[in-house]
Amino acid sequence: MNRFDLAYAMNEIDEEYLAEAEESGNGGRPGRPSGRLRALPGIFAAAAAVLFFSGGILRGVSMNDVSLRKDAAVEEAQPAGAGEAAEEDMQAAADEYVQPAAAGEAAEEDVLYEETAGETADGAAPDVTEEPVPEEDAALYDAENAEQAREAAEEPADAGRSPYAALTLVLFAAGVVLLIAAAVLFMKNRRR
Amino acid sequence: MEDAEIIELYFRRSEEAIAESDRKYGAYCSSIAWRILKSREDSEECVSDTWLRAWGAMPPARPRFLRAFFGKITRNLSLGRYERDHAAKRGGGEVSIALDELGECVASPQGEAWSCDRHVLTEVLNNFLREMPAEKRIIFVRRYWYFDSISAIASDLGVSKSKVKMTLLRSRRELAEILGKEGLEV
Repeated sequence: MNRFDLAYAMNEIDEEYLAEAEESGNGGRPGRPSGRLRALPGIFAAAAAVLFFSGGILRGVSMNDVSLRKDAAVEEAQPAGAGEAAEEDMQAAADEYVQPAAAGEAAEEDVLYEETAGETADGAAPDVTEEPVPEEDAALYDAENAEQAREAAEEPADAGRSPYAALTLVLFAAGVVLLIAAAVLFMKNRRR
Repeated sequence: MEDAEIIELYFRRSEEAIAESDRKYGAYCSSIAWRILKSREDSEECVSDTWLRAWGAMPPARPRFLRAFFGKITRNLSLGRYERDHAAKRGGGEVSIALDELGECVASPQGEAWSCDRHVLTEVLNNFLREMPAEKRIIFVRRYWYFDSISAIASDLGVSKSKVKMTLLRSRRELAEILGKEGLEV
């Protein structure tokens, strides 16, 4: 027996098998899309979902990290338990700072005037010098520190420091890879 | 025209039967011949011979599937011509590859032509196909009857080429085993 014997024997198989094969062929027209192509919408959806959620988590982690760092920085800048009181002090100090300054200017004018008049200005000056200068400085220092801390906290957060962020970054990368794979598959099938 | 009417024309010995057959199934038979011979002239000759064979066969034959009936005749004629043209050397192409694959099922694919009754082998093949799952059978028939390319089968059935290849390989192994059991491998 040779290969042609089998080929000729195949010729006599039941006609219903031929009809069955014919029906499956769609007469050469494109048939059912391939398994991969059928999975394409699913791949796209999965990629989008992964990207959406990992992006959301990443953003959440990042925001959380910022707020945590901000809180830590503020706590560092201001002694614990003194938060509200310090703020009030800062405001009060700032208010006080404006008034003495105006008084100081007036006193200086007085001094100049009195010096010109040949009298001493010692009587007018104590109003200014008696103001609590160290408190002012402390309030300003605190305010400055708080401002610096706020600015530092608003810098881009280092998301990699959080284990969740690392995991989410991997998830995000997987989403990107999935999306690229889906796009490549789509382009390949479109070309076909 | 319906198949039954065409068959009736053959039975009435009306020459219109050939014209109607050619009109309805000419393209189908040409595609079968073309896949095997890859020559327009040879294919046309085989299709013309098909109508003559059919004229000789009907009556008494009354085919259930006229399309398959004509297809078988065309395939048989085309294979005969292919065998004659390629007796000395093996050419490339899908038919040669498919025939080589079929040859794997027999112990001596290059051996002498088989002397046993071909109907016995056909019966074994029919039993073999009957036991197969539908998709596997379709792949087998499309490859070894229609000589379709693996990529065409994969595309039409919506499966990967590797799946088609693997299915064919398993089918051939099973067939070889059956032929061995039946003592038909030589």
